Amino acid sequence: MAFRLFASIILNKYLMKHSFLIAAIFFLSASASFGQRYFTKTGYVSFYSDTPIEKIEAHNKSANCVLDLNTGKLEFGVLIKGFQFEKALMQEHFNENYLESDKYPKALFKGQIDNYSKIDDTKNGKITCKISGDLTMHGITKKITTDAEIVVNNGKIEAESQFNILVADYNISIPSLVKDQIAKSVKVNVRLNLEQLKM
Amino acid sequence: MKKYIFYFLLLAIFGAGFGFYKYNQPHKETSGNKPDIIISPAELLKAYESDESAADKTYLDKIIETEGTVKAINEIEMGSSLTLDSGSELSSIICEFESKSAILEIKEGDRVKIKGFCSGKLMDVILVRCSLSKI
Repeated sequence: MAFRLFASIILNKYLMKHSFLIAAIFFLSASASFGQRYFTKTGYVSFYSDTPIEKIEAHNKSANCVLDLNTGKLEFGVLIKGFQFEKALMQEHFNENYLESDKYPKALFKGQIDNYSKIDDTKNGKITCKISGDLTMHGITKKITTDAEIVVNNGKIEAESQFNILVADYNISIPSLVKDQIAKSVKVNVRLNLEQLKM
Repeated sequence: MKKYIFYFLLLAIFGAGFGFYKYNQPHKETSGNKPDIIISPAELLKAYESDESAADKTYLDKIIETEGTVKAINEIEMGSSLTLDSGSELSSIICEFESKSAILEIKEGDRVKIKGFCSGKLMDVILVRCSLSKI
């Protein structure tokens, strides 16, 4: 009887120790996978339309982005009404007539980095990646592919990319009166400073 | 005949003048304008979290005045930006300012009153073209 009690105490102690170990391993692996996610809420996006008659530029300072280094998946969101133009009239036309931001308030991108395994966030460096995915705006989703420059800098990730989008692809109709003032292909510029998501 | 040409020219000049005025019309600013809606950061976030499209109908493009504590000064390359505490860990109110010098004297933990145009919600509710109001 005494022996059995003794044995069960030993077993219990062993299990407790073990369960702590299991919990510790679980916790470590979980935190390691969370540690691989990077995000920003203040990403910069601009676009530029260049024609001989008129140059139009707009900036957005509050783009969201989450990047998961374990899978190479990237999600990106921006508010259409957040784009600031130099001229109030252009901003008004952009929102009311072209992008219809009351109806379609956001532009979203869901994509995949091709060679994401080459991004090593433990040491500083710079690589160029191919990103492809779906860009949704004005109620229309289209595939886009672009190159991005990714810089690891002391535990932070800086990402930069330029690509062109065709206005016609997104069913944006531009009245013939101003069609010479607005480029058919608009150059988009994205710059992000991503920080590690700490859980 | 001469009379018609005169009227036509007059109309053309007015038209061109109006077009030029519209083209160069400045942005409506938040400073110097009365707010359309006064709401706390927590209430604004709650409205968006419970029904985003209803909140969009109420708040989009309106001048929102809100008073709260600065959770963070955000480092951005153009203009400036700060985050207002809304009581939630995940989501807050982000306020964008067009100029680099707009919030130089503001630091984390300060109590501020801000006016800005509501541009919707991603993870956070975003106010653009903000200006500081005196408390």
